[in-house]
Amino acid sequence: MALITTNLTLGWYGVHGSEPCQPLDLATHFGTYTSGKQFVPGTIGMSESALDNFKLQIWTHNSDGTGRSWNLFQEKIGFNSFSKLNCGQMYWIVWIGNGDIHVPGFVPTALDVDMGRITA
Amino acid sequence: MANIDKNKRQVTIFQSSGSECVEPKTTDLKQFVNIVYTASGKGTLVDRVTSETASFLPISNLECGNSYLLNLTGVSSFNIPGATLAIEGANTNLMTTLFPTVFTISGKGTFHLTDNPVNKKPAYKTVDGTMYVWFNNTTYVMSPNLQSMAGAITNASCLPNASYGDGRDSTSQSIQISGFTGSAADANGVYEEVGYLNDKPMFRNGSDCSYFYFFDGSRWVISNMAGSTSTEACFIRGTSDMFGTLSSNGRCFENQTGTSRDGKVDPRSLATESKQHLLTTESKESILITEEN
Repeated sequence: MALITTNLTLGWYGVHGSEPCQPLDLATHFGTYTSGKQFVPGTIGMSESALDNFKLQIWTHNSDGTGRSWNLFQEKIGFNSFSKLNCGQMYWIVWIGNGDIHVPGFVPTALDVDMGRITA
Repeated sequence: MANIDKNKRQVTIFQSSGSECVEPKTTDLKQFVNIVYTASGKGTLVDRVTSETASFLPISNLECGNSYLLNLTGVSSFNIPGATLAIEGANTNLMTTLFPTVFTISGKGTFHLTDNPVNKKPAYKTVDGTMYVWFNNTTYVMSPNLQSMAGAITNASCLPNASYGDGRDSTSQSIQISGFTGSAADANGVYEEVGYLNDKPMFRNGSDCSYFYFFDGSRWVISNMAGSTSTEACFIRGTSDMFGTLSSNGRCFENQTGTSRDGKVDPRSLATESKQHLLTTESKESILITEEN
C-alpha cells in the first residue's frame, strides 16, 4: 500500500508480489453513491467531505493518448470514464485534501529515484 | 522499447522495461517530444523542454525506475529505447521493485512507501503517522519526524528494511551471502527482500545496494544487475534450491565461490553441545560458528 502525502504524484499500478495483481475498484475503495445520491463510504473509510470538491482526482491516458480522470463529483453524476486502476498502467494522483490517502498496489515514482523495472 | 504513434498528443511511459537499464537523453527526443514531465516527489511536476540544451536543466535523461509524461510533436512515430508505454491497454506487465513497498520492523510498526522520497531514495511512514523511515545520504533512519534526527535510530544500510539493531528487524525474509574475497567482498553480507521477480522474492544487499539475489526462472543468482546475468553472475548450479554454493564458469568474480543461506537463521543455533567444533560444507567453507568463535 502506498501512502499519498503530497499534492501530485505519478506512478505505476501493479507490482510483482506474493499475490497476483488485482485491479483496484475506485468506487469500492474511495466511495460511491446510491441512486438517491447518498454517499456510500469506501473501504478506505474516508468521508464524502474529505474527498469531494475535486480534492482527489486520479488521471490516466486513454489508448489514443488523451487524458481522463476519476473523481467523486463525476462518480456522483455517473460521469467517470474509468472505474478501476488496471494492472500495468500509469496514473497520476492529485490530492489536495487533509492527511494521507492509501492506494494499494500503486508505486509512486519521482525524479532521481530508481524505484524498479517493468517485467513480465 | 516503446513504439509511440505520432497521432497521440500525449503518452505516459515508464523507464525501463526488462532487466537492462537504458537512459536515453531527452534532447535526443526533441524531434518527437516537445516537453517531458515527471513528478518531483514534492507534490509538483518538473518539466523539460527537449529543445533546450543547457546542462543545468532537469531531466537530462529518461532515468530508470521513473515515470514520465510526454507531449508529442506529432511529426512522426518513434521508438524510445528501454521504455514501457503506460497508457490504457498498452500492456499488463508489473513492476519489480528495487526497494520494498511495505515492511514491518519488529516493535516499531508497518511502514508504507510514500510519494515523498528523501535524498533520492524512497521514504516510508506508518499509517498512523507516528514514525518515518528515510535516507539521510548515509544510512536509513527511523524517526518520529521526517528528516529530523531527534529520537532517531539508524541501520547503517542503503535499505529501509535492514535491521535497526536490538531485535528491531524486518519480519520479511533475508539472505546471508558469504565467502567472496578481494574486490568481490562487497557482495557478502545480508540481503533484504525488496521485490519479486519470476514469482520469487528478490533480495538486495544492504551494505551498498549494488548486488541482487534473485531467481532467473531456473536457478538462484547473484548479480550486480537486477534480473540480469549478462555481466558478472554467480549461480547455484544444477538445482533450483535457494541456498547453496554460488559459482559460475568464469563470470563469478574471477571464478570465486560463495555461499548463500537463510539470513534469519543464527548458525550458532546449530552448534554442537561442546561448542568446540565447526561444521563445514563440502567446499570446506565454515558455515557454523561457536560462541567462542
